[in-house]
Amino acid sequence: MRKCWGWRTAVAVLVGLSVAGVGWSAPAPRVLRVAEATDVVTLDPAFAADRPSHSVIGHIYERLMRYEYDTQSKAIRPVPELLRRMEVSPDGRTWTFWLHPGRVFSDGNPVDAVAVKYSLERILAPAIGSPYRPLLEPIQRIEVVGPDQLRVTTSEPYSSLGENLAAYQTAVVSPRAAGRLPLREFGRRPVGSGPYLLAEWLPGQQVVLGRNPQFSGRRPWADQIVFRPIPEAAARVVALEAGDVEVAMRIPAEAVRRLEGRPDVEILRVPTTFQISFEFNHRRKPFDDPRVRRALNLAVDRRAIVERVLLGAGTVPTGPAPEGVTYRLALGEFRYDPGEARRLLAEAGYPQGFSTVLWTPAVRYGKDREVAQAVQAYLADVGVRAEIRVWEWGAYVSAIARPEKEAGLYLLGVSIPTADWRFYRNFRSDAPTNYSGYRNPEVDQLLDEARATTQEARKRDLYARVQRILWTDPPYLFLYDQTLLVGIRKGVSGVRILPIETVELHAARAP
Amino acid sequence: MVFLYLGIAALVPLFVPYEEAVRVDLARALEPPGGREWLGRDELGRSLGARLMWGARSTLTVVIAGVGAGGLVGVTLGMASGLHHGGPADAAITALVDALLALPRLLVALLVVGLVGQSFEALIGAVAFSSFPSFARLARGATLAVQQREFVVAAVALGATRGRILIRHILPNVLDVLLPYASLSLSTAVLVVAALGFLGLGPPPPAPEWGSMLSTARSYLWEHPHLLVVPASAVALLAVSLSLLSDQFAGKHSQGKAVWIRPAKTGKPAGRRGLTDA
Amino acid sequence: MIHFVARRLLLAAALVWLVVILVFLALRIVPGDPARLVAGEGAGEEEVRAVRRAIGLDDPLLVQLVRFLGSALSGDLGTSLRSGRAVREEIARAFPVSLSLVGVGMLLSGGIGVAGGVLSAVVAGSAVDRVLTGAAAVAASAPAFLTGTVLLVWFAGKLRWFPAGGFQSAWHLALPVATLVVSEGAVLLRVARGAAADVVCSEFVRTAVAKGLGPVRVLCRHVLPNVLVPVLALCVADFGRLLGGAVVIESLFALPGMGYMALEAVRYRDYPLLQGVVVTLCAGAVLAGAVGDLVAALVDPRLRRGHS
Repeated sequence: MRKCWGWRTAVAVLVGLSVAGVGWSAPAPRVLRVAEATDVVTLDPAFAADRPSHSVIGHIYERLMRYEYDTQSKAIRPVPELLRRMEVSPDGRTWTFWLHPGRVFSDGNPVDAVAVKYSLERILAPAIGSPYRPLLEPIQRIEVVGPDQLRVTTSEPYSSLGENLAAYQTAVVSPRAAGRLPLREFGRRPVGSGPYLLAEWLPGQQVVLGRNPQFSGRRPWADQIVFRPIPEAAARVVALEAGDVEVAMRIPAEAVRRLEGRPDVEILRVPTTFQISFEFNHRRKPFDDPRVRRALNLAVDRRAIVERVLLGAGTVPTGPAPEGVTYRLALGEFRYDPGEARRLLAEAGYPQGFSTVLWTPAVRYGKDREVAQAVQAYLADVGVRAEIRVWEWGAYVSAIARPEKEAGLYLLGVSIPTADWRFYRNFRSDAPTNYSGYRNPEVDQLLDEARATTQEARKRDLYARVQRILWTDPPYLFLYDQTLLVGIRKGVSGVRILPIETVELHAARAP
Repeated sequence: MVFLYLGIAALVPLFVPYEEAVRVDLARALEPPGGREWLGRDELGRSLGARLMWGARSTLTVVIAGVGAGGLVGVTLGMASGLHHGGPADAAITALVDALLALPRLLVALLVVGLVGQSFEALIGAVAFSSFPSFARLARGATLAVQQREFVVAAVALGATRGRILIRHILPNVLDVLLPYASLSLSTAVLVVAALGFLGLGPPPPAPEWGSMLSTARSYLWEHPHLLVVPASAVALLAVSLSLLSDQFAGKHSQGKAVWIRPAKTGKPAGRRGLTDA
Repeated sequence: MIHFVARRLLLAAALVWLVVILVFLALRIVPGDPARLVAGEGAGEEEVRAVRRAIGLDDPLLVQLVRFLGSALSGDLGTSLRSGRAVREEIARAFPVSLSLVGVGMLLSGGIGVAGGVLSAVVAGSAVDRVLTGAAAVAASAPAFLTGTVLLVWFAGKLRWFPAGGFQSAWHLALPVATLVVSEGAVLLRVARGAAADVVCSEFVRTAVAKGLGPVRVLCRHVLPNVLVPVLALCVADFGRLLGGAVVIESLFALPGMGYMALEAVRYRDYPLLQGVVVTLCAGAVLAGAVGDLVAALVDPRLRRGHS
């Protein structure tokens, strides 16, 4: 009896020890923490407009395609994610998509053609009211042809459909979940098929993502990802330096010198698709005169602005589309030539220059007011007396949409990475978001044709022609392409920052 | 000291051309103090010295007008409220002031701008609106404290008229409490102007103004502190000198010591407004 | 006294609603379209119109007002245009953050201010007085972002004594409260000194001292009440103001409080959230005012009756 007892105790002790041992050597959860400048607004792809929301959506959902940055061509390329195969009919109006079978959402429902149809129709439904309807508007009909196959028919040839399907807004949502919850709530309780799911969202404090057990793709390293909004740039830098976060987005240029000296921090400089310009108001004289527009483009020393005002957080534009935009062409910098500018102005009938009003928003784009003042000084040098008016963003957005606005030029940035959407919305003659009033029938025709053609070479050629026109007869005073500065703690690898300013941690790991 | 400030503000156009304050020179941006520009240059290469002096004009105007207006309104309301302590007027004024002071300053400024437009007047109005409630509350408190004091009670008992009591007894003592606050308000008002800058309120760029200089200097704090130190010192100096000025005006500082340390030797009667003055 | 406070509160309730209605109307007049801001930069006219309809801004003004007042009376303050969450929920989350920051901050500032101010007045004219007064003047004029950033970089960044931001524990409040105390404490010190200096030289204090009462007794019975009444008044006023006004501190230390929420609501013209915030802040300030008056009456018995 005693012997049995002794045995049992021994076994129990051994078991106990080994369990404890396992407990002790169990690894700490692998967490990656990201400091963003603003909080996530919504996790409903049909409505998400801001970068942090897009970043999180990229981890919770999957899309038919996703964007990849090709370091060689320096452009964003849509690559398939859920899509196994894609075919377009010769007339460009019928698309057939085949999905990878067997994927499921985190709630267990299958990611099949029905789910994709649901997600796309959701964006198109007027009742939902998604602002991204125009992206998919030409779609006339979506049919489920097989469990993993669907056919999309458009009313006219729309070759950009493919690249638009990589936008975060077209992420595939679980029909069961989205259908069951009231609209606004789905944005807080998302259900997708990505590698992570939403574990916790404390607004203003943090968004915590945990592993999605149903995910069938390659397992990422991190068990948990935390997104923390830290609005003040200085505080983000401190958090990075103190090791409170592994990644800090939007490091201000002023902090870079200090950070670059540290051995425990690394700074990434990411060229973005964000280009800032002063749009000319073509409805106001003398901005309808191409000589005047060209003159003003020659009057500004962009290099000085980038180096001295932006402190290097930008590059001088070499075309109307920055690095990273699909089909972009590098056409060379505008030179700084105030003498030529004055000559052109005189030729256009303004030897003494003229007066105008310049609008800028406040605290919207990095150094907006400083840039505005620098440009004001350059314009003054060639005789153009610009009076600055500073606007609060909310009022600004409505003010610039008015055709009869008083501004001669106003500051605005564009960050759309796909050529069709980007050029169309700004430069097509009657586009509702064409605030400048730019009208060029040749550009219109080229854009329409590029949208319709399915041949890659032809498309490239058409967009090249559009860009050449926009660069030789500039509709805007193109200023700079923004560079995003991101701080990463040494040892953390695999962090992907896209030129659209979102972060992807699928391949990231920390020491 | 304060007069130095006012003097500079008034006379600067004679000595420093406006051009100096607005000429952009990117090549020399962020130059630290030393050399030709003894205070350095700002983020666009403009002379900080010139901007400081020219900025004195707009800043002092806005701040004095704004706090002055706010203070006047606030003190009047506060004293009225305190004098009728317990009555319906007191209740109404206090409730209104409490409700208004809670409105976020930015919201108020936005409404002011939306209704009146972006102008200097709007800025002054916004500053006044955001400062009057604190003055009102403080004045009410001071009035309550003072009116209970023996000399006031005595004056009433002696049959002095309400007006006389107010002006000779209550008001000066209330001002004793208020003046230090008012002098500090002027410098905090500069910070308020800085915060409102991003609504587009204030002189249109590139006009210099201390508040906006402070808010742009924020990002350059570590690498180029002179951008912040220069206007901040000016504001701090203003605060200190106003503070000294208000103390002298109150005239108390050499009196208090006497009572405590040597109670036997009192010398001159302490307190300008004791019973003897009734 | 109670009677007076009760009457005050009733009046205040009415006034808060009046202010809210005024803000409601004024917001609609101000330029800026929430529908456009929610829809984002990619949206054209049609999308903006759709969003406007979806968030209920399409109806005539009166209908919107009545709807808001109606639901507000039953406790429902509407839904945030930007986040889609119930306004009540957003406020319930942000209010405790601001309350803790401003509450602790004002308490400490009050203590330091009164102590420093009285001390300063008592030794008026001496080196101690001059140093204190000068330091207070400088501290009060220092921009909050300067104080805060310095504290952040030194104590959180270099020394790592405190976390760099967020609101996960009481420890997280240390630096923000310190930033607040630096400026508020300085202002209160100056005010307290003014009030104390006014009293310290007066007849009854001298009488008390002559009678042989110890300095501490004199302080408590005569000087302190006269100092506390105005200081309390300012404390209460600033408490109300800072509940929604500590934006700089909140954004610097990533504290999701009312101030930052109000800022974002203004920026994005989130009308329901803004209206809810205004109601809460006004009510909070009024309540604080009433509490402050009650405390003042406790401190100074002479205030207990209404007096004219």
